[in-house]
Amino acid sequence: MSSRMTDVATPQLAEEPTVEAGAPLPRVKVIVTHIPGSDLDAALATIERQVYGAVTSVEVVSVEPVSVKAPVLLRESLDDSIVATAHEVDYLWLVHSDARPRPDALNALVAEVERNDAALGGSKVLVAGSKDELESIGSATDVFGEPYSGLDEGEIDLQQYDVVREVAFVSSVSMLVRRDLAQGLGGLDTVLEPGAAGLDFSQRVRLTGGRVIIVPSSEVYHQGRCSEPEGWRELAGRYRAMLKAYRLVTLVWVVPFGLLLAVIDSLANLLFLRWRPAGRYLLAILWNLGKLPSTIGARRRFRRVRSVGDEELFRFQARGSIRMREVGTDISDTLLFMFDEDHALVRGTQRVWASPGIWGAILAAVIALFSARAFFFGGVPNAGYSFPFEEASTSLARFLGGWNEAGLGTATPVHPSSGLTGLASTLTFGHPGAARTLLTLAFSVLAITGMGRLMGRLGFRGPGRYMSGLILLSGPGTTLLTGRGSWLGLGAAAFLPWAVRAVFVHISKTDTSPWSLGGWTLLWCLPLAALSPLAALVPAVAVLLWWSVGGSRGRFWLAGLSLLGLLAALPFLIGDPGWVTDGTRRLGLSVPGYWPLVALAAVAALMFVEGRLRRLATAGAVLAFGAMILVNSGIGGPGVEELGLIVASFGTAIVVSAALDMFSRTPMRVIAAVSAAAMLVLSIGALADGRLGLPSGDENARYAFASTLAGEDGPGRLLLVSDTRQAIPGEVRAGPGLWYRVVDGAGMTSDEVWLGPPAAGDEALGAALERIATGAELRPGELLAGFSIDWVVVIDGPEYLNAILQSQLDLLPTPLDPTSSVYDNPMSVPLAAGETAVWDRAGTGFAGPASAERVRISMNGATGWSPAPEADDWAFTVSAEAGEATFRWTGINRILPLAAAVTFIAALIAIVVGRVRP
Amino acid sequence: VKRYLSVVLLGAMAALAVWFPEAAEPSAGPIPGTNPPPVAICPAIEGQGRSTVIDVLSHVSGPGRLTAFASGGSTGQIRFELTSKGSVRVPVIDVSAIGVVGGLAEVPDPAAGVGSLITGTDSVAAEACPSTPSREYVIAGGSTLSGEGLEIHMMNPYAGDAAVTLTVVSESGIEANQVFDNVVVPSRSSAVVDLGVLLPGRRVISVLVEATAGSVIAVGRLDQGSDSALWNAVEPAQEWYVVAPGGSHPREIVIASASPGEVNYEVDMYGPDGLVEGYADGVIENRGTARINLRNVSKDPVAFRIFGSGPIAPFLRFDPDSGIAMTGGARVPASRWILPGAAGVRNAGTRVLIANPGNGEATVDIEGTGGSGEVDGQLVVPPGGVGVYVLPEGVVHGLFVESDLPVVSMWFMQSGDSYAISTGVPLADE
Repeated sequence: MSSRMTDVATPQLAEEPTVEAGAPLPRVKVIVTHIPGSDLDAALATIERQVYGAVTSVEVVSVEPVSVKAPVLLRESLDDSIVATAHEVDYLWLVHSDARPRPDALNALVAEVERNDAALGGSKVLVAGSKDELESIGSATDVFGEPYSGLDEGEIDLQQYDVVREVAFVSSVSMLVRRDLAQGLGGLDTVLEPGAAGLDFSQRVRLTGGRVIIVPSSEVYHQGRCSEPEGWRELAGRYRAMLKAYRLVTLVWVVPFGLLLAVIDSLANLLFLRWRPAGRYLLAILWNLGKLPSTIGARRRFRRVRSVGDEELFRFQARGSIRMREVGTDISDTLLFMFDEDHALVRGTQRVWASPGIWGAILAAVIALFSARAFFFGGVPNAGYSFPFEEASTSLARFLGGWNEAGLGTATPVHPSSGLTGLASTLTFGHPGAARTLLTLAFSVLAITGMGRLMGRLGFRGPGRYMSGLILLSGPGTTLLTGRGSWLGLGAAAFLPWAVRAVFVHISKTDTSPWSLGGWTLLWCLPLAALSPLAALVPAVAVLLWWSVGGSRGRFWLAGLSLLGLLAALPFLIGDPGWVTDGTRRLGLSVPGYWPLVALAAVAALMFVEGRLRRLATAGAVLAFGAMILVNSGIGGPGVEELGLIVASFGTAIVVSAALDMFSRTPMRVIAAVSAAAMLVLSIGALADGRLGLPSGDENARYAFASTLAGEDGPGRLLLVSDTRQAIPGEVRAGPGLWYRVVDGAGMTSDEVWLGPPAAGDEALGAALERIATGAELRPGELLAGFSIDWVVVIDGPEYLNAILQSQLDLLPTPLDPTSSVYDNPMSVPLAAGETAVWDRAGTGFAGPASAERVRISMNGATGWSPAPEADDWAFTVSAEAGEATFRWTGINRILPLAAAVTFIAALIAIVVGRVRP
Repeated sequence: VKRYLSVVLLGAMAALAVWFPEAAEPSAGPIPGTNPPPVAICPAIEGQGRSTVIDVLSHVSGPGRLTAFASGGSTGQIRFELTSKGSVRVPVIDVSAIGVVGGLAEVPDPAAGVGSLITGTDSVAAEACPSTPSREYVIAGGSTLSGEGLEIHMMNPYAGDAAVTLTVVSESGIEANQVFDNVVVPSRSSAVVDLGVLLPGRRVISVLVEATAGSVIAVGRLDQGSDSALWNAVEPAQEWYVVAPGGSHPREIVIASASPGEVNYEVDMYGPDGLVEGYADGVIENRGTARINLRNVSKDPVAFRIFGSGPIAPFLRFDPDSGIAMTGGARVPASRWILPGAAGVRNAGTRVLIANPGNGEATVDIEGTGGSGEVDGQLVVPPGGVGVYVLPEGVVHGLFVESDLPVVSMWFMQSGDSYAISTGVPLADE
């Protein structure tokens, strides 16, 4: 307890009660409410030390058997004590047994209540054992009874609130009430917790025409044994107080709004993995339903003494909902914490600029938002390797073992990003477009905050740690990937620092449970693997590398756990090993030579500064240079290339972070900082287009004619052909002097980007193209019809093909695109059709009228289709009797995605469980 | 020391990252050689007292079909079956209605030849049907003097519309007419430009046909009196062979240039005296023509090899008082030829002319098939000479010519006062 509490020898004397000359002091009866666990004797001793000279009697109210010495009386209920109060008594001082009033507390209360002609006065409540931390200085409420003290957490009493004023309610810890009013109102509601009881009593006092004031000169230290803050009983009590006080006309709208707010608050808290508020609301509502008869009775009794309307309460209420404000504050605090690890913003704006790195974070965030400005107006472009998400259910079904429809369909599990996009679409209530835009915007934020938080965890506090996030977004590798439209590469780069951070936990960090650490590791690594399968190896490799250069913050068990992220990607990697090994499928990107040179300048300079920076810069440079060598060497397939490019940016970002950690005029630091600044300039330049480096355009809009002009057979497929590889979206195949791929006429989606290994249909299509390319085929449309190719689009060239296609009989040149030669193929067969009926897509399969015929599906044949599949050249037929054709993976391709989904859910549970502190 | 060592190692890694030999970018596959489809596009006229038959001869057996096209679609189709070294004659009237149409003949193999034979009461015209469209054609030798009608018939059997620009040059120079600027030949249709109406009174006309979009095949038709001539527009080249029949009838070679500047040409002659190098030479101005009158050269058949310093196209105009016949030159000598339509008219005299531009004696087998007759003969042609094979009576659908040395082959037909000349279809060596 503070020195002020014990300094009773020199109390600050309160003003004497204002009474007419010669008039006796108002007589006060003290009623001490016994709080279990509190020291009653000590409480009575502080009462005894009161300097007020007209205390008539002291009574203790306790439901438990306690011993009191005469003349103190013991009562079983507050009602008993109030009712038994003699008419000579003017005031009742209701005080808790865990309260320790200063000797002049009662004196001050009586004086101010008398002077202000108030009916109820409350003391200023300070937290016992603190250095005058304020607990209550009288409160306002909102219309739902939610108290609003206006006090900051831990705010110290500097007498800044020491003004006697009317308030909505005062704490029941110490209140002085007129005896006649207390008897008329029946005293405090004994079923309510103290806070709610005070609110209830204050409201009733006000509605009978009495004034409720706070008396700051009456100070009471409160041990806080009487209630659990934010307990459901307090909430339930506030509801009861509301139901008792408001007129019916007010309740008609307050109650529904209150319930709505309860739902919103519960959901918002669930987002923060806090389920208790929802439980509190539920219990409070149930408790009130149980107490409804007694509440109605109390309402009736109060109606007899009520003298003013609800407007009198509204005068002292805050506008809107205090609870909703707190939810907003929670959200903003959480978002700010992503940038402001040191809580500088939360602690106060005056100290913001004293926080290392905060201005770097803000600058980086502003640049990132500027770099993503095009998404706000036009959404994410559909070009290169970036295409819209599928419907949530279809996307998830495809991930969990559905058919991969890329190209001519492939018996290879779909790219694992389908799982992530499906989940994101689900979370946006089935709006794939919104999910894609939000996710892309999130990438820019995640990259910056991720680098900042990772480097913060590794001991950096300078501005460079957040700025280095820009290198991650558009550094030496990612700028090449995004330039080709690799949305997945951008996403993987954004998730990578978080995944690495999850496994870098210092051994001294013991305030987080292993459950939580493991959960977060999986929660970051699973999406990372979904976005870029091989990138899931990086956290484990980073721990090993860090350990090899003498670092100690990595945890091997978390590194091992991070590899479980690969669960999401294993079906894809096993099904299409060429994605990892086939060099002919690479994008053919290489990091420009100036990047390693500038990075070398920075890291070489850092070699001669303090050890911490040196070690990290070395690790970053080794990662970056190693990745650049890997990329330029041409080893491996597109997966390795993607990994190399992402890691090249990640390593460079670490170097930049180290180089900009602190500014000083030492030559080596200056060289490092200038080199880092040069790298930042190079990166920001690539972001200037406002699309985070992604290419512009909308390939789906360009080829929308396929849908627009589609007949009853559906839009079929487009065969895109070009002598320029980049002119065709997604992965392409090499043909005779050209590149080509087939895309869905209904518009390409993100799951179609990667084609998978060639199957029989792809071989047949390749052979058909070879034949067409010789000019020997007079009817190329007929040749392509079986592939359901409705349109052939020759983009830019090759000229020889255009010449050939000018001398054929059944592909109709159609001027639909000013930059391409478009040919309509009227011979094309539907994607799925029998002799009499055409089937449509249904989820990842097809459906149509049931009949006895067989339906040919122009997809590569694969085991897993049903019902009754039969090979038909490279495609297959199914029985139409069921009216649908479905595909389901079996075995490992079915089990692994499910295992990944279960692991993801388990990670969430582990995080929630890990948050529960003993 | 450790720090310097680290710098060196990192420097080495950076150097590797900069100067590591870049992996070869993935590349598309090789462009395959062209292998045009075995088709031929034939002009046809039905009505106005004329009728057309399409003769198809093939070394290889297999199915074929003839599709007549006009006004944007197929007006009829007929399928046929060819035997090895067999022939088929398809009367166009069996496929299409009356009018000027095009016919697309699909044959089983490139070792085939297709020709149009248009006959009337007092007229006969024949020409082999071209197979591969080109971006640029030249057609020359026509005229629009009194009593003459000259038409350029452009056929587009393909799926896409075509647009062509005509550059018409006469003795007056380049003729200006908006009609020539952008002639649209719709898909599966023909377009006819009547130069007799647009440019009457011209003695020598050459036309450069340039396709600006799509593909067309062009032929010329010249009506003179009751007879008419039919001849193909050809893609200009620098070397040509032309075989001319003997006799005393007026005949000339018209050499047209496709180049806007001057083009020098030189002519060697093959005839009874063997090779006569430098028989003639000259300069052709701006897309103009040069004419070599053959009337006084020899009464025997002769042949010419013509070189141009730029792309040129020579045509033979056989212009007796009572009729007219035209044909283009041949690009290369070949060992195998097909002469579709040769000896295809009853009661008409047909001669096959074989020029031997080589240094050795060529032994040439001539076989005829189909119809009511049969031809099986042999001809020996001395080096630098031109041999004539007179066909016996009878009607065949055409001739197969096979030689042990590369030769140039054409045929000439006289039916009353009507004439037809056609250069054969050279085949690639087996």
